[in-house]
Amino acid sequence: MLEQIYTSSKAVTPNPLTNPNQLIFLRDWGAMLLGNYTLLDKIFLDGTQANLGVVGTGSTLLNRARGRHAWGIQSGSSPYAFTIYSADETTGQLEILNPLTSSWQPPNGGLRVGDFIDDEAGLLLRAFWGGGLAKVAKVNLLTGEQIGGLLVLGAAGFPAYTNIAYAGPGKVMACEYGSGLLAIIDYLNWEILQLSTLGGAVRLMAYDSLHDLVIALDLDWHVRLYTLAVVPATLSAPAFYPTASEVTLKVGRKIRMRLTGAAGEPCSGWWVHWQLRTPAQGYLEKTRSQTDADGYAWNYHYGPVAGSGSEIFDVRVVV
Amino acid sequence: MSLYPIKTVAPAFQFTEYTGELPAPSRYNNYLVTPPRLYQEDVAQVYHFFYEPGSDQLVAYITFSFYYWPGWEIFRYEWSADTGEFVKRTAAGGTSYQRNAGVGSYGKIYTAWNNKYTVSEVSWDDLWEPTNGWSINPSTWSPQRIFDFAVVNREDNLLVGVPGLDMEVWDISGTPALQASLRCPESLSYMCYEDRQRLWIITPSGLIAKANYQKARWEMLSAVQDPSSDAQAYLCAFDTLRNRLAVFRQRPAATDGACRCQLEFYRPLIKVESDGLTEPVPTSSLRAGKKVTFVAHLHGERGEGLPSYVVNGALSSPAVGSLLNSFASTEINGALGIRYQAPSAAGEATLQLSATITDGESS
Repeated sequence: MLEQIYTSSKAVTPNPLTNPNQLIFLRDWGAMLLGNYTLLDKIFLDGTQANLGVVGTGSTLLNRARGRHAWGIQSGSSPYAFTIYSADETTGQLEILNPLTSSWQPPNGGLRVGDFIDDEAGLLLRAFWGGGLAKVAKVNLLTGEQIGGLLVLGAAGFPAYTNIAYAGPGKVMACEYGSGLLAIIDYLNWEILQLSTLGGAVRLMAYDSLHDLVIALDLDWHVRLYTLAVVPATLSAPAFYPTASEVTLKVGRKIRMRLTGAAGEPCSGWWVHWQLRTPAQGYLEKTRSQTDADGYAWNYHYGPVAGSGSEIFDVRVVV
Repeated sequence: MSLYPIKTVAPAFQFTEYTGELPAPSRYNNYLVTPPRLYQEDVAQVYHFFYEPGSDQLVAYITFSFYYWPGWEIFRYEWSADTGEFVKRTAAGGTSYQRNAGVGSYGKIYTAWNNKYTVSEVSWDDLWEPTNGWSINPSTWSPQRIFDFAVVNREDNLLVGVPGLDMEVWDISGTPALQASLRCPESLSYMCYEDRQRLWIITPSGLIAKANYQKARWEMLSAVQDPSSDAQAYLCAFDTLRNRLAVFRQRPAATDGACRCQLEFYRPLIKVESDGLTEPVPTSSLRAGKKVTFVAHLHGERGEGLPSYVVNGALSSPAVGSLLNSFASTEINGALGIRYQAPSAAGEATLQLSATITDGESS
């Protein structure tokens, strides 16, 4: 679970007619664009809200590379065919004479709120619905043909992503509002960099690519901010690596433990304190070590020169 | 950039008091003179509002509901563009054919029409076309157009029209060709010309936007001051002599029937709201011994970022930890950052932000 660092005192006021359906952090603003079926609002990180006008009929609000946004507009004879337009940063409205694509029909249905486009790389990323696993599909922006996809492995039952937000050059955050699950994905190299959760359902999520924060519009309509740091939840028992049940003589053996979050995600960069319970038979090389990218902290244990006995390791993490 | 309200003239004019009952065949709109109402007329609709540079006046054409025969009347209203003081009103029957008249090139008045598809030059004092006046017919263009609002720039051969949500810039130097298009934030309530590059729009909810129509970009999005929920319409006119925007706000009559319509004057200057400084928000973990940057925004009525203001930060007593910068300048989007050094032990601190706002007239 990610570490929460802020809850707004102000609550966002939703449109009384409909729930909002898209929240996008715009780097140029340092604030968010909140869209729903009728209204367009600017939302600051502390929940301050200002209306900027209305949403045009048949418009789909999309995330875009570099922390901007785009609009998809139904076009052509098919209700599923769309043209994507860049957006004006002053009003948030689409630039009608500046289409980023020709009209085409995305695979697996029409364009959806929460789809992501990187017009420089010529890609559209979208949640693939079906199969029981979360999957991000990669689509050629010129032709609308699907050219690849990414399954979130080890997350059986993980629901389809509801939003794919810009997180940095070549990186997106794919997230699911109903569960608060999220993944940071390198979409150019097709690699999952981080898989975590906010701990529960939220209304909408966005990614602050200026400060690397996950933004949630929570069920109570307050804005909550999370760092990408995972809050430790589980400390595994120390174990020799490679496995060793007996340690004799004055031979150092590697020992490690793992620190993970509530969703089993690794906690990196945390200091782990090591101690041998008295009476100790041997000794440890270090009294503390830092967890690596996979959440492991390492140490060396040196057994006694002669004799036998058992050793109990105590490890602690100060959260 | 947002809008700085200079003054409000309210009411913009007075209604004529009820002068006595008439025989039944001549009575219309009896509600007008039913107690507690005291006036024999009320505003039905404001059709046109513009700055007339020749007389340096603001002019509106207003349709009234009347108690007396024939039950309605159209008047031309004139106000001093300088003070907003009411000057006079003149009967102007027959001007309901025109649609959203406004000033354009050469200080002339241009209008779209309800009964035909042309956009044409009209006289300011009766809104009728002069002999050999300029005119163009967008219904003959390809694609065909019918405009509700139009701004005419004959110097550069441009016509800006709004047929729906999209503002279109047409090159009319030869065969008319669509040159640019801008999506408006809302449907329009009114549109007015500023100069050869810029125009203003106002929407039914009080949003005000400024566009550079030659470069096809929005330059500002703001709003009227205190957009009241009872506003029935907003109309805008740009005073090119004083470089300021005038807004006519149509509001329903008071309980006694008195006029509550008002004139508002705005300068295109930064106006910071009294609560225009957002709460400082941490951008990293709050841990003992760590440095944390807090961000906030200074903004106007519609979230417009206000650059180049100095915002001061202070820790309220008892101060725990310290500020690494006690002030910061706002960026182009109004954002600022204050860095905080947390103490090595656990504690609690409160960061307070303040800014001195100067708008050229007060601070």
